[in-house]
Amino acid sequence: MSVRLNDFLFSILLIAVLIVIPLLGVGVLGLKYFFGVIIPYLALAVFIGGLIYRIVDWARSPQPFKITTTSGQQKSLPWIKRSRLESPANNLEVALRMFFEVFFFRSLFRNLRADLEGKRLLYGSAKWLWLGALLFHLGFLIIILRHLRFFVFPVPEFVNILEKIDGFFQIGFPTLYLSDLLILLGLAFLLLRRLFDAKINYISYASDYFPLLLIISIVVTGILMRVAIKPDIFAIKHYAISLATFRPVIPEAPISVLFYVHLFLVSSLAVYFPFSKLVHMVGIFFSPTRNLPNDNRMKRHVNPWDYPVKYTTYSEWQEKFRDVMEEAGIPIDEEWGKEIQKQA
Amino acid sequence: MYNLDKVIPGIIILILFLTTPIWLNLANLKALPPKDPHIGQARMCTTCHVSEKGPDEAVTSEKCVADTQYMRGYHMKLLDEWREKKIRKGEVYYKGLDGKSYVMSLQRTCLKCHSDYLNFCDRCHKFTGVQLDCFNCHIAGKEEKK
Repeated sequence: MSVRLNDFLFSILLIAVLIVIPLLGVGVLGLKYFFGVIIPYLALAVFIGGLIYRIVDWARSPQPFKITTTSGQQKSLPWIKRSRLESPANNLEVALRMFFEVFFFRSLFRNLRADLEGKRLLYGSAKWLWLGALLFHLGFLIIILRHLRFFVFPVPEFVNILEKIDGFFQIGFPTLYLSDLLILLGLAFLLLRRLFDAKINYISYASDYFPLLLIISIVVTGILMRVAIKPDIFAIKHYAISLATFRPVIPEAPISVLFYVHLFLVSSLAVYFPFSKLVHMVGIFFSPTRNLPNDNRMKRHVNPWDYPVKYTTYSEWQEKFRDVMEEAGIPIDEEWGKEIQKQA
Repeated sequence: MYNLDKVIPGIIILILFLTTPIWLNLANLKALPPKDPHIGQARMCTTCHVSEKGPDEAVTSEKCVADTQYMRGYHMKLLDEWREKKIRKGEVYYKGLDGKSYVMSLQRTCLKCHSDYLNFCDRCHKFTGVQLDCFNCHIAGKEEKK
Protein backbone atom coordinates (compact mmCIF):
# COMPACT_ATOMS: atom_id res chain seq x y z
CA MET A 1 0.00 0.00 0.00
CA SER A 2 1.40 3.35 -0.93
CA VAL A 3 0.14 6.46 0.81
CA ARG A 4 -0.42 9.59 -1.23
CA LEU A 5 1.25 12.30 0.80
CA ASN A 6 1.62 15.19 -1.66
CA ASP A 7 -1.67 16.87 -0.83
CA PHE A 8 -1.05 16.41 2.88
CA LEU A 9 2.42 17.94 2.72
CA PHE A 10 1.16 20.80 0.57
CA SER A 11 -1.50 21.55 3.20
CA ILE A 12 1.13 21.55 5.94
CA LEU A 13 3.13 24.03 3.91
CA LEU A 14 0.08 26.27 3.54
CA ILE A 15 -0.54 26.17 7.30
CA ALA A 16 3.10 27.00 7.96
CA VAL A 17 2.78 30.05 5.70
CA LEU A 18 -0.40 31.10 7.50
CA ILE A 19 1.45 30.88 10.82
CA VAL A 20 4.53 32.72 9.58
CA ILE A 21 2.54 35.68 8.18
CA PRO A 22 1.32 36.98 11.59
CA LEU A 23 4.63 35.99 13.22
CA LEU A 24 6.42 38.32 10.83
CA GLY A 25 3.65 40.88 10.57
CA VAL A 26 3.11 41.37 14.30
CA GLY A 27 6.29 39.98 15.81
CA VAL A 28 8.73 41.74 13.50
CA LEU A 29 6.89 44.54 11.73
CA GLY A 30 4.50 45.33 14.57
CA LEU A 31 1.41 45.71 12.36
CA LYS A 32 -0.96 45.22 15.29
CA TYR A 33 -3.80 47.32 13.93
CA PHE A 34 -3.69 45.56 10.57
CA PHE A 35 -3.70 42.05 12.05
CA GLY A 36 -5.88 42.90 15.04
CA VAL A 37 -8.59 45.03 13.46
CA ILE A 38 -8.54 45.20 9.67
CA ILE A 39 -8.05 41.50 8.94
CA PRO A 40 -10.64 40.22 11.45
CA TYR A 41 -13.28 42.67 10.19
CA LEU A 42 -12.50 41.83 6.57
CA ALA A 43 -12.67 38.13 7.38
CA LEU A 44 -16.04 38.51 9.10
CA ALA A 45 -17.40 40.48 6.13
CA VAL A 46 -16.18 37.88 3.64
CA PHE A 47 -17.53 35.08 5.83
CA ILE A 48 -21.07 36.46 6.16
CA GLY A 49 -21.15 37.90 2.65
CA GLY A 50 -19.80 34.67 1.19
CA LEU A 51 -22.34 32.52 3.02
CA ILE A 52 -25.20 34.74 1.82
CA TYR A 53 -23.82 34.65 -1.70
CA ARG A 54 -23.78 30.84 -1.61
CA ILE A 55 -27.31 30.72 -0.15
CA VAL A 56 -28.69 33.06 -2.81
CA ASP A 57 -26.89 31.10 -5.51
CA TRP A 58 -28.46 27.84 -4.33
CA ALA A 59 -31.87 29.41 -3.81
CA ARG A 60 -31.85 30.61 -7.42
CA SER A 61 -31.26 27.10 -8.74
CA PRO A 62 -34.50 25.46 -9.89
CA GLN A 63 -35.49 22.05 -8.56
CA PRO A 64 -36.52 20.05 -11.63
CA PHE A 65 -37.31 16.80 -9.86
CA LYS A 66 -38.33 15.70 -6.43
CA ILE A 67 -35.51 13.37 -5.45
CA THR A 68 -35.95 12.76 -1.74
CA THR A 69 -33.73 9.97 -0.44
CA THR A 70 -35.87 7.57 1.50
CA SER A 71 -35.21 4.45 3.43
CA GLY A 72 -38.59 3.75 4.91
CA GLN A 73 -42.24 3.15 4.04
CA GLN A 74 -43.84 6.24 2.55
CA LYS A 75 -47.27 7.54 3.54
CA SER A 76 -49.83 5.28 1.91
CA LEU A 77 -53.06 3.59 3.02
CA PRO A 78 -53.94 4.39 6.64
CA TRP A 79 -53.41 0.83 7.85
CA ILE A 80 -49.88 0.59 6.46
CA LYS A 81 -47.36 1.68 9.05
CA ARG A 82 -45.19 4.47 7.70
CA SER A 83 -41.84 5.90 8.67
CA ARG A 84 -42.07 9.61 9.36
CA LEU A 85 -38.33 10.29 9.53
CA GLU A 86 -37.15 7.98 6.77
CA SER A 87 -39.82 9.00 4.30
CA PRO A 88 -41.21 12.36 5.39
CA ALA A 89 -44.60 13.19 3.89
CA ASN A 90 -44.84 16.88 4.82
CA ASN A 91 -42.65 19.84 5.72
CA LEU A 92 -42.86 19.25 9.46
CA GLU A 93 -41.45 15.76 9.05
CA VAL A 94 -38.77 17.11 6.71
CA ALA A 95 -37.81 19.64 9.39
CA LEU A 96 -37.62 16.87 11.99
CA ARG A 97 -35.46 14.75 9.75
CA MET A 98 -33.24 17.75 9.02
CA PHE A 99 -32.90 18.47 12.73
CA PHE A 100 -31.68 14.96 13.49
CA GLU A 101 -29.39 15.09 10.48
CA VAL A 102 -27.82 18.40 11.53
CA PHE A 103 -27.38 17.61 15.22
CA PHE A 104 -26.86 13.85 15.23
CA PHE A 105 -25.66 12.97 11.71
CA ARG A 106 -28.14 10.12 11.20
CA SER A 107 -26.95 9.47 7.67
CA LEU A 108 -23.36 8.95 8.85
CA PHE A 109 -24.67 6.46 11.38
CA ARG A 110 -25.62 4.31 8.41
CA ASN A 111 -22.08 4.44 7.07
CA LEU A 112 -20.83 1.02 6.05
CA ARG A 113 -17.43 -0.53 5.90
CA ALA A 114 -16.48 -2.23 2.65
CA ASP A 115 -13.32 -4.32 2.71
CA LEU A 116 -11.74 -6.88 0.46
CA GLU A 117 -10.90 -10.10 2.17
CA GLY A 118 -8.93 -12.01 -0.39
CA LYS A 119 -11.24 -11.73 -3.36
CA ARG A 120 -14.42 -11.38 -1.35
CA LEU A 121 -16.00 -7.95 -0.79
CA LEU A 122 -17.30 -7.73 2.75
CA TYR A 123 -19.65 -5.10 4.13
CA GLY A 124 -19.94 -4.34 7.80
CA SER A 125 -21.01 -1.80 10.34
CA ALA A 126 -18.69 1.19 10.86
CA LYS A 127 -19.65 3.83 13.40
CA TRP A 128 -16.22 5.45 13.73
CA LEU A 129 -16.76 8.12 11.10
CA TRP A 130 -20.05 9.03 12.73
CA LEU A 131 -18.44 9.23 16.17
CA GLY A 132 -15.40 11.20 15.00
CA ALA A 133 -17.53 13.67 13.05
CA LEU A 134 -19.90 14.12 15.99
CA LEU A 135 -17.05 14.72 18.46
CA PHE A 136 -15.49 17.26 16.15
CA HIS A 137 -18.64 19.18 15.24
CA LEU A 138 -20.18 19.30 18.72
CA GLY A 139 -16.79 20.14 20.25
CA PHE A 140 -16.44 23.01 17.80
CA LEU A 141 -19.93 24.28 18.60
CA ILE A 142 -19.28 24.24 22.36
CA ILE A 143 -15.92 25.97 21.92
CA ILE A 144 -17.50 28.72 19.80
CA LEU A 145 -20.25 29.25 22.38
CA ARG A 146 -17.66 29.36 25.16
CA HIS A 147 -15.81 32.10 23.28
CA LEU A 148 -18.79 34.39 23.93
CA ARG A 149 -17.19 35.09 27.28
CA PHE A 150 -14.54 37.13 25.47
CA PHE A 151 -16.95 39.11 23.34
CA VAL A 152 -19.86 39.88 25.65
CA PHE A 153 -20.07 41.81 28.88
CA PRO A 154 -21.59 40.93 31.26
CA VAL A 155 -20.85 37.29 30.45
CA PRO A 156 -24.18 35.51 29.78
CA GLU A 157 -25.10 33.02 32.48
CA PHE A 158 -25.48 30.14 30.02
CA VAL A 159 -21.83 30.59 29.01
CA ASN A 160 -20.74 30.28 32.64
CA ILE A 161 -22.86 27.16 33.06
CA LEU A 162 -21.52 25.68 29.82
CA GLU A 163 -17.98 26.33 31.03
CA LYS A 164 -18.64 24.63 34.37
CA ILE A 165 -20.04 21.56 32.64
CA ASP A 166 -17.17 21.57 30.15
CA GLY A 167 -14.62 21.60 32.97
CA PHE A 168 -16.67 19.31 35.15
CA PHE A 169 -13.92 16.87 36.12
CA GLN A 170 -11.44 19.63 37.07
CA ILE A 171 -8.54 17.72 35.59
CA GLY A 172 -5.29 19.67 35.84
CA PHE A 173 -4.91 23.39 36.26
CA PRO A 174 -6.22 25.48 34.56
CA THR A 175 -9.05 22.99 34.29
CA LEU A 176 -9.06 20.86 31.16
CA TYR A 177 -12.07 21.52 28.95
CA LEU A 178 -13.64 18.28 27.81
CA SER A 179 -14.62 19.90 24.50
CA ASP A 180 -10.93 20.65 23.82
CA LEU A 181 -10.00 17.04 24.42
CA LEU A 182 -12.89 15.64 22.38
CA ILE A 183 -12.42 17.95 19.40
CA LEU A 184 -8.76 16.93 19.23
CA LEU A 185 -9.71 13.26 19.36
CA GLY A 186 -12.28 13.78 16.61
CA LEU A 187 -9.91 15.79 14.42
CA ALA A 188 -7.08 13.31 14.91
CA PHE A 189 -9.36 10.47 13.83
CA LEU A 190 -10.65 12.37 10.79
CA LEU A 191 -7.08 13.17 9.73
CA LEU A 192 -5.61 9.73 10.38
CA ARG A 193 -8.33 7.96 8.42
CA ARG A 194 -7.45 10.08 5.40
CA LEU A 195 -3.80 9.14 5.80
CA PHE A 196 -3.98 5.48 6.67
CA ASP A 197 -7.18 4.11 5.13
CA ALA A 198 -6.09 3.36 1.55
CA LYS A 199 -9.59 3.88 0.12
CA ILE A 200 -10.03 7.27 1.80
CA ASN A 201 -6.44 8.25 1.11
CA TYR A 202 -7.04 7.68 -2.59
CA ILE A 203 -9.83 10.27 -2.70
CA SER A 204 -8.26 12.82 -0.32
CA TYR A 205 -6.98 16.09 -1.69
CA ALA A 206 -5.49 19.26 -0.29
CA SER A 207 -9.03 20.64 0.03
CA ASP A 208 -9.65 17.82 2.53
CA TYR A 209 -6.41 18.04 4.49
CA PHE A 210 -6.15 21.82 4.62
CA PRO A 211 -9.36 22.56 6.58
CA LEU A 212 -8.58 19.72 9.02
CA LEU A 213 -5.05 20.98 9.61
CA LEU A 214 -6.24 24.58 9.83
CA ILE A 215 -8.78 23.72 12.52
CA ILE A 216 -6.23 21.57 14.33
CA SER A 217 -3.77 24.48 14.43
CA ILE A 218 -6.50 26.83 15.67
CA VAL A 219 -7.36 24.39 18.47
CA VAL A 220 -3.72 23.84 19.37
CA THR A 221 -2.87 27.57 19.53
CA GLY A 222 -5.99 28.09 21.64
CA ILE A 223 -5.08 25.31 24.08
CA LEU A 224 -1.49 26.59 24.23
CA MET A 225 -2.75 29.99 25.32
CA ARG A 226 -4.88 28.42 28.00
CA VAL A 227 -2.34 25.97 29.33
CA ALA A 228 1.18 27.19 28.71
CA ILE A 229 1.84 30.60 27.18
CA LYS A 230 -0.78 32.70 28.88
CA PRO A 231 -1.64 36.11 27.46
CA ASP A 232 -3.09 39.06 29.36
CA ILE A 233 -6.71 37.95 29.19
CA PHE A 234 -7.99 41.22 30.61
CA ALA A 235 -6.45 43.18 27.75
CA ILE A 236 -7.75 40.62 25.26
CA LYS A 237 -11.30 40.92 26.51
CA HIS A 238 -11.13 44.69 26.21
CA TYR A 239 -9.91 44.26 22.68
CA ALA A 240 -12.54 41.64 21.78
CA ILE A 241 -15.39 43.75 23.16
CA SER A 242 -14.11 46.77 21.30
CA LEU A 243 -14.32 44.71 18.10
CA ALA A 244 -17.83 43.48 18.88
CA THR A 245 -19.09 47.01 19.54
CA PHE A 246 -17.40 48.48 16.44
CA ARG A 247 -15.06 50.84 18.28
CA PRO A 248 -11.85 48.87 17.79
CA VAL A 249 -8.97 49.55 20.17
CA ILE A 250 -5.67 47.72 20.29
CA PRO A 251 -4.74 47.64 23.99
CA GLU A 252 -1.40 49.11 25.00
CA ALA A 253 -0.75 46.19 27.32
CA PRO A 254 1.34 43.65 25.43
CA ILE A 255 -0.59 40.76 23.88
CA SER A 256 1.50 37.78 22.89
CA VAL A 257 2.16 37.03 19.23
CA LEU A 258 0.61 33.62 19.80
CA PHE A 259 -2.73 35.37 20.19
CA TYR A 260 -2.30 37.08 16.83
CA VAL A 261 -1.43 33.74 15.24
CA HIS A 262 -4.63 32.26 16.68
CA LEU A 263 -6.61 35.25 15.41
CA PHE A 264 -5.08 35.13 11.94
CA LEU A 265 -5.76 31.39 11.61
CA VAL A 266 -9.39 31.95 12.63
CA SER A 267 -9.65 34.79 10.11
CA SER A 268 -8.20 32.52 7.43
CA LEU A 269 -10.77 29.86 8.28
CA ALA A 270 -13.56 32.43 8.05
CA VAL A 271 -12.42 33.58 4.61
CA TYR A 272 -11.87 30.04 3.35
CA PHE A 273 -15.17 28.77 4.72
CA PRO A 274 -17.80 29.98 2.22
CA PHE A 275 -15.78 28.94 -0.82
CA SER A 276 -14.77 25.45 0.24
CA LYS A 277 -16.36 22.19 1.23
CA LEU A 278 -16.89 23.64 4.70
CA VAL A 279 -19.89 25.51 3.35
CA HIS A 280 -21.87 22.29 3.87
CA MET A 281 -22.91 24.15 7.02
CA VAL A 282 -25.53 25.92 4.90
CA GLY A 283 -25.41 23.48 1.99
CA ILE A 284 -27.06 20.75 4.05
CA PHE A 285 -30.26 22.81 4.06
CA PHE A 286 -30.20 23.04 0.27
CA SER A 287 -29.59 19.35 -0.27
CA PRO A 288 -32.48 18.22 -2.51
CA THR A 289 -32.29 14.65 -1.26
CA ARG A 290 -32.92 15.89 2.29
CA ASN A 291 -35.06 19.02 2.11
CA LEU A 292 -38.06 17.76 0.13
CA PRO A 293 -41.03 15.79 1.43
CA ASN A 294 -41.64 12.48 -0.31
CA ASP A 295 -45.14 13.39 -1.54
CA ASN A 296 -44.75 12.64 -5.24
CA ARG A 297 -47.99 10.67 -5.28
CA MET A 298 -50.00 13.36 -3.49
CA LYS A 299 -48.77 16.56 -5.15
CA ARG A 300 -47.54 17.03 -8.66
CA HIS A 301 -44.08 18.55 -8.76
CA VAL A 302 -43.80 20.93 -11.69
CA ASN A 303 -40.37 21.55 -13.10
CA PRO A 304 -39.88 25.29 -12.71
CA TRP A 305 -37.96 25.59 -15.93
CA ASP A 306 -40.52 23.76 -18.04
CA TYR A 307 -41.26 25.89 -21.09
CA PRO A 308 -44.48 25.67 -23.18
CA VAL A 309 -44.04 22.89 -25.76
CA LYS A 310 -46.09 23.00 -28.95
CA TYR A 311 -47.88 19.70 -29.38
CA THR A 312 -50.83 18.30 -31.28
CA THR A 313 -53.74 16.66 -29.44
CA TYR A 314 -55.56 13.66 -30.92
CA SER A 315 -58.68 15.68 -31.61
CA GLU A 316 -56.69 18.31 -33.50
CA TRP A 317 -55.02 15.57 -35.47
CA GLN A 318 -58.41 13.96 -36.15
CA GLU A 319 -59.87 17.24 -37.41
CA LYS A 320 -56.92 17.67 -39.70
CA PHE A 321 -57.29 14.22 -41.29
CA ARG A 322 -61.08 13.82 -40.89
CA ASP A 323 -61.78 13.55 -44.63
CA VAL A 324 -59.06 11.02 -45.24
CA MET A 325 -60.08 8.99 -42.21
CA GLU A 326 -63.77 8.90 -43.21
CA GLU A 327 -62.77 7.88 -46.69
CA ALA A 328 -60.64 5.06 -45.34
CA GLY A 329 -63.38 3.96 -42.92
CA ILE A 330 -61.45 4.72 -39.76
CA PRO A 331 -63.92 5.41 -36.93
CA ILE A 332 -64.19 9.04 -35.90
CA ASP A 333 -64.37 9.87 -32.19
CA GLU A 334 -67.25 12.32 -32.17
CA GLU A 335 -66.91 13.21 -28.47
CA TRP A 336 -63.55 14.79 -29.17
CA GLY A 337 -64.88 16.37 -32.30
CA LYS A 338 -67.61 18.05 -30.24
CA GLU A 339 -65.07 19.34 -27.73
CA ILE A 340 -63.09 20.96 -30.49
CA GLN A 341 -66.25 22.59 -31.83
CA LYS A 342 -67.15 23.85 -28.34
CA GLN A 343 -63.76 25.39 -27.89
CA ALA A 344 -63.82 26.98 -31.29
CA MET B 1 -35.19 32.81 -6.17
CA TYR B 2 -37.23 29.84 -5.10
CA ASN B 3 -38.72 29.07 -1.67
CA LEU B 4 -38.25 32.60 -0.40
CA ASP B 5 -40.59 31.86 2.51
CA LYS B 6 -37.94 29.52 3.89
CA VAL B 7 -34.73 31.04 2.56
CA ILE B 8 -35.24 34.56 3.94
CA PRO B 9 -35.92 33.41 7.54
CA GLY B 10 -32.94 31.07 7.15
CA ILE B 11 -30.63 33.94 6.21
CA ILE B 12 -31.97 36.05 9.09
CA ILE B 13 -31.40 33.25 11.61
CA LEU B 14 -27.88 32.69 10.26
CA ILE B 15 -26.95 36.36 10.55
CA LEU B 16 -28.46 36.61 14.04
CA PHE B 17 -26.46 33.55 15.12
CA LEU B 18 -23.20 34.82 13.65
CA THR B 19 -23.58 38.28 15.18
CA THR B 20 -24.57 37.08 18.66
CA PRO B 21 -21.82 39.06 20.44
CA ILE B 22 -22.84 42.28 18.72
CA TRP B 23 -26.50 42.31 19.73
CA LEU B 24 -25.84 40.78 23.16
CA ASN B 25 -23.58 43.76 23.84
CA LEU B 26 -26.08 46.22 22.39
CA ALA B 27 -28.59 44.96 24.94
CA ASN B 28 -26.45 46.32 27.78
CA LEU B 29 -24.50 49.09 26.19
CA LYS B 30 -24.42 51.02 29.46
CA ALA B 31 -22.60 48.25 31.29
CA LEU B 32 -19.78 48.27 28.78
CA PRO B 33 -16.34 49.47 29.82
CA PRO B 34 -15.22 52.88 28.55
CA LYS B 35 -13.81 53.23 25.08
CA ASP B 36 -10.24 53.66 26.22
CA PRO B 37 -9.30 50.67 28.35
CA HIS B 38 -6.92 52.83 30.36
CA ILE B 39 -9.64 55.07 31.67
CA GLY B 40 -11.31 53.56 34.65
CA GLN B 41 -10.51 49.96 35.13
CA ALA B 42 -7.57 48.67 33.14
CA ARG B 43 -4.68 49.84 35.25
CA MET B 44 -5.84 48.58 38.60
CA CYS B 45 -2.43 47.24 39.44
CA THR B 46 -0.70 50.60 39.26
CA THR B 47 -1.85 51.45 42.74
CA CYS B 48 0.65 49.02 44.18
CA HIS B 49 3.17 48.60 41.41
CA VAL B 50 5.44 50.43 39.09
CA SER B 51 3.31 51.45 36.14
CA GLU B 52 4.59 51.33 32.60
CA LYS B 53 4.65 55.09 32.35
CA GLY B 54 6.86 55.52 35.39
CA PRO B 55 7.07 54.62 39.04
CA ASP B 56 4.07 55.25 41.18
CA GLU B 57 5.79 57.02 44.05
CA ALA B 58 3.45 56.11 46.82
CA VAL B 59 4.14 52.44 46.86
CA THR B 60 7.24 51.60 44.85
CA SER B 61 8.79 50.08 47.93
CA GLU B 62 6.16 47.41 48.16
CA LYS B 63 6.79 44.80 45.51
CA CYS B 64 4.97 41.67 44.61
CA VAL B 65 6.66 38.28 44.50
CA ALA B 66 6.78 38.61 40.71
CA ASP B 67 6.37 41.41 38.21
CA THR B 68 2.96 42.69 37.18
CA GLN B 69 2.93 41.41 33.64
CA TYR B 70 3.83 37.91 34.78
CA MET B 71 1.27 37.97 37.56
CA ARG B 72 -1.51 39.08 35.18
CA GLY B 73 -1.11 36.02 33.07
CA TYR B 74 0.20 33.46 35.50
CA HIS B 75 -1.02 34.25 39.04
CA MET B 76 -3.20 31.16 38.99
CA LYS B 77 -0.20 29.00 38.09
CA LEU B 78 1.81 30.54 40.91
CA LEU B 79 -0.97 29.92 43.40
CA ASP B 80 -1.29 26.38 42.15
CA GLU B 81 2.47 25.92 42.53
CA TRP B 82 2.36 27.31 46.07
CA ARG B 83 -0.43 24.99 47.05
CA GLU B 84 1.50 22.04 45.64
CA LYS B 85 4.72 23.01 47.43
CA LYS B 86 3.23 23.96 50.74
CA ILE B 87 0.43 21.51 51.27
CA ARG B 88 1.90 18.47 49.56
CA LYS B 89 5.67 18.95 50.00
CA GLY B 90 5.76 20.92 53.23
CA GLU B 91 7.92 23.79 51.95
CA VAL B 92 7.27 27.16 53.54
CA TYR B 93 9.22 29.88 51.70
CA TYR B 94 9.13 31.09 48.12
CA LYS B 95 12.01 33.11 46.69
CA GLY B 96 10.52 36.16 45.03
CA LEU B 97 11.66 38.37 42.18
CA ASP B 98 13.58 40.72 44.48
CA GLY B 99 15.48 37.87 46.07
CA LYS B 100 13.53 38.01 49.31
CA SER B 101 11.78 35.00 50.70
CA TYR B 102 8.03 35.05 51.09
CA VAL B 103 5.80 32.79 53.12
CA MET B 104 3.71 30.82 50.69
CA SER B 105 0.30 31.79 51.94
CA LEU B 106 -2.67 33.26 50.16
CA GLN B 107 -4.09 34.93 53.22
CA ARG B 108 -0.91 36.02 54.97
CA THR B 109 1.13 37.08 51.92
CA CYS B 110 -1.06 37.87 48.91
CA LEU B 111 -4.03 39.28 50.74
CA LYS B 112 -1.81 41.52 52.87
CA CYS B 113 -1.61 43.92 49.94
CA HIS B 114 -4.39 42.66 47.70
CA SER B 115 -7.02 42.84 50.34
CA ASP B 116 -9.77 44.40 48.28
CA TYR B 117 -11.50 41.35 46.84
CA LEU B 118 -14.17 43.24 44.92
CA ASN B 119 -11.78 45.61 43.18
CA PHE B 120 -8.75 43.39 42.92
CA CYS B 121 -10.01 39.89 42.09
CA ASP B 122 -13.66 40.10 41.30
CA ARG B 123 -13.62 42.96 38.83
CA CYS B 124 -11.27 41.24 36.40
CA HIS B 125 -12.70 37.82 36.94
CA LYS B 126 -16.27 38.98 36.40
CA PHE B 127 -15.18 40.95 33.35
CA THR B 128 -13.42 38.04 31.69
CA GLY B 129 -15.84 35.40 32.90
CA VAL B 130 -13.22 33.34 34.69
CA GLN B 131 -14.73 31.57 37.66
CA LEU B 132 -12.46 31.23 40.68
CA ASP B 133 -12.98 29.02 43.70
CA CYS B 134 -10.17 30.24 46.02
CA PHE B 135 -12.60 31.91 48.34
CA ASN B 136 -14.93 29.01 48.66
CA CYS B 137 -12.58 28.12 51.56
CA HIS B 138 -10.31 31.13 52.14
CA ILE B 139 -11.52 34.35 53.69
CA ALA B 140 -11.48 37.11 51.12
CA GLY B 141 -9.56 39.93 52.79
CA LYS B 142 -11.18 42.98 54.29
CA GLU B 143 -14.09 43.18 51.95
CA GLU B 144 -16.88 40.72 52.24
CA LYS B 145 -16.85 38.45 49.27
CA LYS B 146 -19.73 38.33 46.85
